[in-house]
Amino acid sequence: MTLLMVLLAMCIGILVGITRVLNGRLTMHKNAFYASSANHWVGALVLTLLLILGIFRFPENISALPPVAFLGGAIGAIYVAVNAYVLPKLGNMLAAMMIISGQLFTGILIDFWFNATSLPIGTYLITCAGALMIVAGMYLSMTPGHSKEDK
Amino acid sequence: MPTAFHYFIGIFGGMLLAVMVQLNGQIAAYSSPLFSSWVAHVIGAIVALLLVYLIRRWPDKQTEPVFAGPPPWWSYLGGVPGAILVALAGITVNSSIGLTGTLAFSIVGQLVFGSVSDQFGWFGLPKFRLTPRKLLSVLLVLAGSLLIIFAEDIA
Repeated sequence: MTLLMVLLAMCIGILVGITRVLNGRLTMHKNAFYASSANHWVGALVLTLLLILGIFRFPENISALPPVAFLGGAIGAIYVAVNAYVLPKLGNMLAAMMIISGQLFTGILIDFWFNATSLPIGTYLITCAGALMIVAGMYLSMTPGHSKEDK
Repeated sequence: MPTAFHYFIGIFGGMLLAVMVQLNGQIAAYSSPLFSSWVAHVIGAIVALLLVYLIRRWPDKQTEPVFAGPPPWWSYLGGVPGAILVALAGITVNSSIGLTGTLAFSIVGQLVFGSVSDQFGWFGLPKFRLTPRKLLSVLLVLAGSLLIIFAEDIA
């Protein structure tokens, strides 16, 4: 069962990669915002279909939703555009790498901001070690030493 | 050729993702992952459309598209995997592997798929061949990511 969950989680990563690549291809014909728009409208259509089919429902306490949370959708429009924009420039793997790195760094900052005093020192050190490894990996990918075959 | 700008814009994208996950997560807490995704997609669809019209007002700021012809029909389907993965994530996050396991293995999936799709130029995209340098950089990032994700468990 755990193995199945592991495979499903890897599939999530593959689906993310496929989304990036489809949007990237569309960007190469049009532009990144166009791709983000297409992505969101098609996705909204698919999800609306699921809503109609009853796969999920409107929450009962819909008025209790914090208004600021609706900003997530607006940020998403830009996020998908950024993904679509960098994909044709960096390739799928490096694009994924940059986005994952940015996401984890920000996650660390958010965690430390809210939990700074309650983290055990071991957790703190391991997190920093991980961050340093990510920086090293990113630096390595960005520095020259790229031969013609890199593209 | 990519410039430093493209790398940093990618990192910026990751920051947006982290913020977005927090915000959408608040909606999901009141409802469900799929409802939260639906809200985010509907709002994002409107915002993205506005942005498309906004940049059309500045034709001189736009760059020429890389491919001249019409896009293939399947390139419009980027939104489909997105809807599916939200449902999958809803399953895996609530399973034995939890949020950390979901994050860790989805990262592995992204990087492996990304390197294969790059290598062979799938979906008509340019080929980005794997070099020893790139492989090492990806392994470093992967190892660092796993340390961060499992820091509490390791410590």
